[in-house]
Amino acid sequence: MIKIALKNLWARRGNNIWLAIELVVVTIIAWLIIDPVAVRVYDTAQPLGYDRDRLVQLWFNTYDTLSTRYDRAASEKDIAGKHIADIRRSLEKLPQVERVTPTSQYYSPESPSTNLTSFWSTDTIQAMEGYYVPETGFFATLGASSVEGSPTIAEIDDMHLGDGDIIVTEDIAKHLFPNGNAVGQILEGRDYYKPRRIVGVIGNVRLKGFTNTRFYTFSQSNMFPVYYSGKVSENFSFLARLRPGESTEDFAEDESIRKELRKGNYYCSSIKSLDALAKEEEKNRGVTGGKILGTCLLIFFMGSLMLGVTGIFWLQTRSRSHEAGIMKSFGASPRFITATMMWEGVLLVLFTWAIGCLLYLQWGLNNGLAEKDRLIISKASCPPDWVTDFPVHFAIISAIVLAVLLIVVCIGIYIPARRISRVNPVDALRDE
Amino acid sequence: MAIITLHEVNRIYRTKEIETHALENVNFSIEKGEFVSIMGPSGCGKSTLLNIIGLLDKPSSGKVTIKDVSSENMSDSKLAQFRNANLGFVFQSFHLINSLNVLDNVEIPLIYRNMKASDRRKMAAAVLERVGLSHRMKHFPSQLSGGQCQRVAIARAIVGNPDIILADEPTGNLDSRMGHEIMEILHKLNKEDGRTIVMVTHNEAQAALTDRIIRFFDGRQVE
Repeated sequence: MIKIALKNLWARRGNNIWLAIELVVVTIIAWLIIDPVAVRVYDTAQPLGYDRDRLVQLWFNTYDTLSTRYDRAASEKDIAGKHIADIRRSLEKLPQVERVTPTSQYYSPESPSTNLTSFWSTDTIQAMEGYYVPETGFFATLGASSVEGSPTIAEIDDMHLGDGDIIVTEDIAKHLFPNGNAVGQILEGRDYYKPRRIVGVIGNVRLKGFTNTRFYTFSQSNMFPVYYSGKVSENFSFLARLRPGESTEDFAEDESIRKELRKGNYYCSSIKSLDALAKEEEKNRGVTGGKILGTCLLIFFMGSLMLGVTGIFWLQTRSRSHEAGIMKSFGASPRFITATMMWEGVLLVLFTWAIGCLLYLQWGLNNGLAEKDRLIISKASCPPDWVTDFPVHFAIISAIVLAVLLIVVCIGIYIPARRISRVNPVDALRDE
Repeated sequence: MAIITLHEVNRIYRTKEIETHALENVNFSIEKGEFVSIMGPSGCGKSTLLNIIGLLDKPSSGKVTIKDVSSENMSDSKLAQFRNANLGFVFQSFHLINSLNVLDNVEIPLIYRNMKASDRRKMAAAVLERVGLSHRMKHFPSQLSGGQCQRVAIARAIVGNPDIILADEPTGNLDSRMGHEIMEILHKLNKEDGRTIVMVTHNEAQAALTDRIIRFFDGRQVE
């Protein structure tokens, strides 16, 4: 049947050459659209690696000194420090809360800070730096996962970090030390960055959820609850992990919780779920609006293009009803007629897809294929995967393009072919 | 021995407004090796009858038996298979596929028999030799005269070695000389190969040269 389909294609080469040219162009356009979309979908579909949907962040400020609520005595370092601890205990006692950890005021998993640091060992990478307060259960609160060969999350949370000690994500460990254990290894830093010692490895996390996967490191934060100068914090924040089934939005909107978490000169100024923070950040960067508009335009354009291709094949197949009548009168079954026409479409697609991909390959070799959305972060901060592996990337997207073309063309052929193969040969022959 | 039998065959075309009896109570049989003409005025049901005999159309009622096999309750696929094995068609308008050359057109019935390509080519070339068109194998229908097109159609009809050939006004679109050539070929197929031929025609002179004439008028057999 394939030989018959090839023969038919060759016999109609006068008509088919135009179809072929069109399909080559459509292949290239499909590549241009599908490549970045596929990379983006893959990247944003990566697991977060932590339990963002169970986390809320609470910010605490002090009353203004002119406020009637302000208590000068409560501003003493020891008393203020005790008040902070009391607030934490009150928070931990709330029925919705599973555990609490203090966070750096200026850093939370979903804050927009983008500190970068560079390391090299066998390779140069750039990692986003995060800070946490050691020995407060930060990683357990986050919901990060343990990695084989490294101390467990519980052990990492109990660690007292020395100066220069860092926790890294699994991507960094595998990338820099593929053949050995990363724990205990020293990473040399560039410029003024001190060498760092890896003391623990956690499962990959995708913080700042709107961005793509990154290398991450975590160092100790010295900004809670006491500044270097010895002054007690005027502002601080906690990260709370809610129990399973509790709604972070309801918790954030509960005024009574805010009223309860008040001690001395400290009051709870804001509670937000990390999901809400992530959405806010997306909106602020125009990512959401841009995403929706871009997606709609792409869907519309791609849909129109594919409808056009389907339509052309549909019309062409329908115009062969007379031929189907002849075939039927000489013994072709409806299934044979449909199958032959389908094979013609499949072979034409395979041939033109190969040409289209080869042409795109030339362009891709010179200009590169789609990359992950890096925002302001460099290429070196993204863990390598199929997106960065040119041959694999090219093969995967080529396969997706082929699948799309085959579906579109087969729909355009199958439905009319099935219809004309079932028409009475007398009626079909009358069509001439 | 009857190779084709029609028993109480009726064909009614129904639309919302009217009902047309194209064929009414047709009964006859055709012996193996007979060359039969079917004649009648336009619209009397000749082509409808031929289509029913050729299993291209189903009767509204009645029975059609070909080579002792009844076409009742046959699926589309079975009908197609039976046609391929036992029947060959020659149409007034030739009905060749314009995008295929002569050889490819003649091969069409053999494609559905799952034969090797080389065997198909040999058989097609042999029948083209027989109808005197071996020098035109690579030509396309648009490059042939009417008579040549009809000879290709006849070659296509006999390439699969069917016992029965159904010809619907095979000379209707041809001049007298070409028509005469076509009739000679049909007679040869009948006499030399022993094939049963059922031919619809308006031409009394051509019909007179066949073994029997069946006449129709307004869907009914009159002779």
